[in-house]
Amino acid sequence: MYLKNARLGRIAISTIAFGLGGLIIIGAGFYRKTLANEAPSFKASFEKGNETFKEFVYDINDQGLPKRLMQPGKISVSTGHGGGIVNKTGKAILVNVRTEGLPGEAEVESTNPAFDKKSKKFVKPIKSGETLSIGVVLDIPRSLLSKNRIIGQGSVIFENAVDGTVLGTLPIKIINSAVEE
Amino acid sequence: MNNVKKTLLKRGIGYIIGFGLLYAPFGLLQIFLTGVLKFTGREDIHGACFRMALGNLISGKGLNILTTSGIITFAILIVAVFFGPQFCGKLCFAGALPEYASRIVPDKLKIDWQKYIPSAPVRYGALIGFLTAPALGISVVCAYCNYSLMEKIVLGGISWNLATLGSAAILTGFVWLFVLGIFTKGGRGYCTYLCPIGAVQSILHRVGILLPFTYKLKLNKESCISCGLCAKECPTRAITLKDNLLKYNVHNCIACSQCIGTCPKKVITFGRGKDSWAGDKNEQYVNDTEGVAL
Repeated sequence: MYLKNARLGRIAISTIAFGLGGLIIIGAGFYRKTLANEAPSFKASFEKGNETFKEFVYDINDQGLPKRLMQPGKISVSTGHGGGIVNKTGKAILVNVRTEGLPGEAEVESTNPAFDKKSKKFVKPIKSGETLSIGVVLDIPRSLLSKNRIIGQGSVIFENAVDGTVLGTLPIKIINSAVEE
Repeated sequence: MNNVKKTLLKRGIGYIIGFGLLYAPFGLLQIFLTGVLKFTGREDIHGACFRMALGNLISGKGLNILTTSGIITFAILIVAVFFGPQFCGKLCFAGALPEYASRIVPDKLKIDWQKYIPSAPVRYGALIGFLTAPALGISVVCAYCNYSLMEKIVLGGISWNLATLGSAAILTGFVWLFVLGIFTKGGRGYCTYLCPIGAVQSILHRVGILLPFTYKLKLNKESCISCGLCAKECPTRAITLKDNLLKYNVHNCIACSQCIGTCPKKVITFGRGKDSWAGDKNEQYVNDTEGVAL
């Protein structure tokens, strides 16, 4: 009888532990969902040239507590997981990316094999129909984050590296909605 | 140098090789697979991602075997059936890092979580949660990935410029390296409670040990002197010694061979044949009070 009860007890504990494991992961998934705005991404395409893409707004107030404590000024403006800027120009283009007016330090990065991580430049053209994954990492000093509602504005400019023409401009605004105007 | 340190050193070399094979800036295995064998995939840890491959499989996209992550996933699964979770025990740098780091933390600061919460059911529950998450419209694959975080930490250390981390990644690092890492007895709390890769391998190993031709941990009960060193050194608490009973929980075992190298009488081996622990039914977490009387 004692052994049977002990066995039932162990089965009950294992069942509860099993449920707990599942709940931890599901809970973690929902927590991540609430933080979707912490790492927003943008979508764009190169078509006619000299296009201005939809303004990218990053709100520091959307950050979760761990991010706010550890790395609030390190922000990524990117095309996100699996995304990218689509080349719809009908021809291969060698893209040059530069930033203008952004607060703090800005660094271009990409997981695209055509991107040279040392020179931070694309070294191979992007074929028509292909996508260009791109991210700009901003490192804004903590002191600037809670001073004004609008922390800074600037843009990422995509140029044709061969002839210098502008392919597109992504306006960026970094705000902290917790600061009153 | 004693047996414990020798075994740790030997295992450490394996984990460093594992790092060189799978993680940027090296990613030698992915470079070989893409460069020589012409598979598609990335040359960093994402090119070896088991979780993405498993996620694709579950979400109906299928397991594309002709990619770096597909071939690496397939290899890990096959090896797990025949040889146990060798990836965890011999190559996984992300699992080894907190284990080795925990050895410099005094024991009184470490928690033996398994005393309070059995790890195997939690880990299998976490695996089910991981697999059902996409159906609930949530994703836990990349945001909570300790492999990706591991790579970011190393690359950030090299360039002295840590990559952008989200709240989920910061939480993962805190749990993996600290709460379930260096402040957990054995240092492998993340592996034993939350790792879906380890969970899949453990299931396959549990099935695999039923077959006589597969490799498994074996104990020569007659020659065991009951010193308890294997239990003390086991990083995942797969072997425990309580009331003079040596218990083995195959669901926690990562085939790291620390017990084999540590045993002064060499009574623990890894080989083929009948499961020498099975007669005591002590390999199952639901009835693990029975054991080998010593």
